[in-house]
Amino acid sequence: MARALAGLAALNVAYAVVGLSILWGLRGFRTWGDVLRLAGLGYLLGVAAFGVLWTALLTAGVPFGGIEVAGSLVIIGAAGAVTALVRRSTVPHGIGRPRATPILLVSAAGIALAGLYLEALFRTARLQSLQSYDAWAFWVPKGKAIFFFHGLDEHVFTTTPNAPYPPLQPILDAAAFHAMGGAEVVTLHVQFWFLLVGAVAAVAGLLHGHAPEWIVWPPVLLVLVVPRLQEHLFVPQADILVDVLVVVAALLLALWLRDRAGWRLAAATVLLAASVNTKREGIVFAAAVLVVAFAVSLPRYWLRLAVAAAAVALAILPWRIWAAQHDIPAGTPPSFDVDRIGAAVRLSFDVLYSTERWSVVPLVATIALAAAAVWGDRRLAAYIGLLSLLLFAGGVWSTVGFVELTLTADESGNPIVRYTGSIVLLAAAALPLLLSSVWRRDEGT
Amino acid sequence: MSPHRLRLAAAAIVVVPLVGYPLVVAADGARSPTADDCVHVAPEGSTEALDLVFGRRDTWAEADELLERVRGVGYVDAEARPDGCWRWKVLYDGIESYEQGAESRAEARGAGLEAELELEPPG
Repeated sequence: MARALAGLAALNVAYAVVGLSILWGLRGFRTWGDVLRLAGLGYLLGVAAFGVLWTALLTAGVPFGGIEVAGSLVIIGAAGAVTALVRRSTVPHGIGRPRATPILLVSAAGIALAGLYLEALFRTARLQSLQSYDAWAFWVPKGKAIFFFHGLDEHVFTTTPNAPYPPLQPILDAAAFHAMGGAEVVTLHVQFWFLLVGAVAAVAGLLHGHAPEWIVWPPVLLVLVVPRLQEHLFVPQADILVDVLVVVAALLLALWLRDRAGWRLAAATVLLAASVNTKREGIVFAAAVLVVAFAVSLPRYWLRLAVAAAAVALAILPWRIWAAQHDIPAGTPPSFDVDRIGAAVRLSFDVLYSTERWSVVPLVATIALAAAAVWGDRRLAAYIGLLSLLLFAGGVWSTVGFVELTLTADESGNPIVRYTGSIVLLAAAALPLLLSSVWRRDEGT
Repeated sequence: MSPHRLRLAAAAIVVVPLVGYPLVVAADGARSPTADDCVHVAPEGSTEALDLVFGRRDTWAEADELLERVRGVGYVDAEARPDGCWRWKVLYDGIESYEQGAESRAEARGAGLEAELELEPPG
């Protein structure tokens, strides 16, 4: 088991190194402190780029073996480094000491609390069994199929439940199996712990400097312990991954709307390209993020957004073509039963504002959104508000369109709770930006 | 507080708990799981679901070899499965009671196999 854990750790460090290399190519680093701050985002970028690349390669019939996995990581990392050299991106030098103000202690306390909680979760993650139906019925079997048969086994990928789901999560599972030295489904849960650590680091790192530290950490810590997430953090399914990819991309675009730094848009594009290859709803989520970014941007930025949207659309094609060639349906809602709209809206609303599932995160975020719309950054409030509404509408559409779904929050009959996770994570990630926009306005008056 | 001391305090706030917590947990007796954690020998008279396990091997090839031997003795429905702790186990899952299992175990041992009655894993 120690060997498996060491292998898994090495794989995840490789994801981070590869992603940081991409970031180096996109923006350069001034200091090693910068590298550390963006390590979480780098990790997610590494995971996303690896997943998107292998989705395309597997659909083209390229075999998935240990050497190929290592080789692909080297190639992606090298591409980032070459881009950095060609663009003459700045090389990090010096640590870049943090400013020595009392708020530094708040930041340290936030890191310590989040770190302690994640350490405790590691012990849970390494001893989890495979219990969830979706995990053992198709997510993990697909990963095993890629691991054992070195590709998209036609039988497994066309006959297991939810065949239209794209293969990015199973690809990550298969890579983890290679790193561990076997298809061991208990230790596999640790892969999801690494994803969680990367997500927390990415959000905190991105928010650094854009919101006061005392506003950044409470929402991050709160969302980590909300009952629903706590129960499902390590379930080997793609729900948390797709939410994390979309929310971090949405956060990058929220910051891009402020500073128009091209690297943010490029990084968001990679994450959205991964999200559309992770789950069906990833397409709805990515479309919502891009549509809202268009809506709140001036026309002169539309071309850049259009290029990003085209890149994301292109990333969907390999899997869609493979799926169509194998008679796998698109998986879109087959109908639209208007009689179900009222009940679907009520259900989605009840689930979103359920304190038993999400604690007070949606409620506080709604208040922060209203405050930012009135007293703070109105464009940011419009962006987060519209995006939340579109994500909410997507959940309603799913319940309305799939008439076989029961009008219940019970997950065996309707995935609305899983779907709502994206809105709640977005709320937690955006809360510091929304509140600080109100706070800073107060400071300025 | 001087900037130097402030930075030191911040570093201590991060490092002390993050290093201290795993040390305290380890000192408190929390141990790492081992392959033996997947072996649950059935207590005498158990009414739980039972398997007759003929042994565990590190590789599929070794397990397949043992499986052939077990089938050769007469357990034609025996199978090899992963045990969840990095090993392959050879077992017969048609045991319906502890008494029947104990008889089968005695027969298997009589045939030179290292059989044991184990609790069937959940799932």
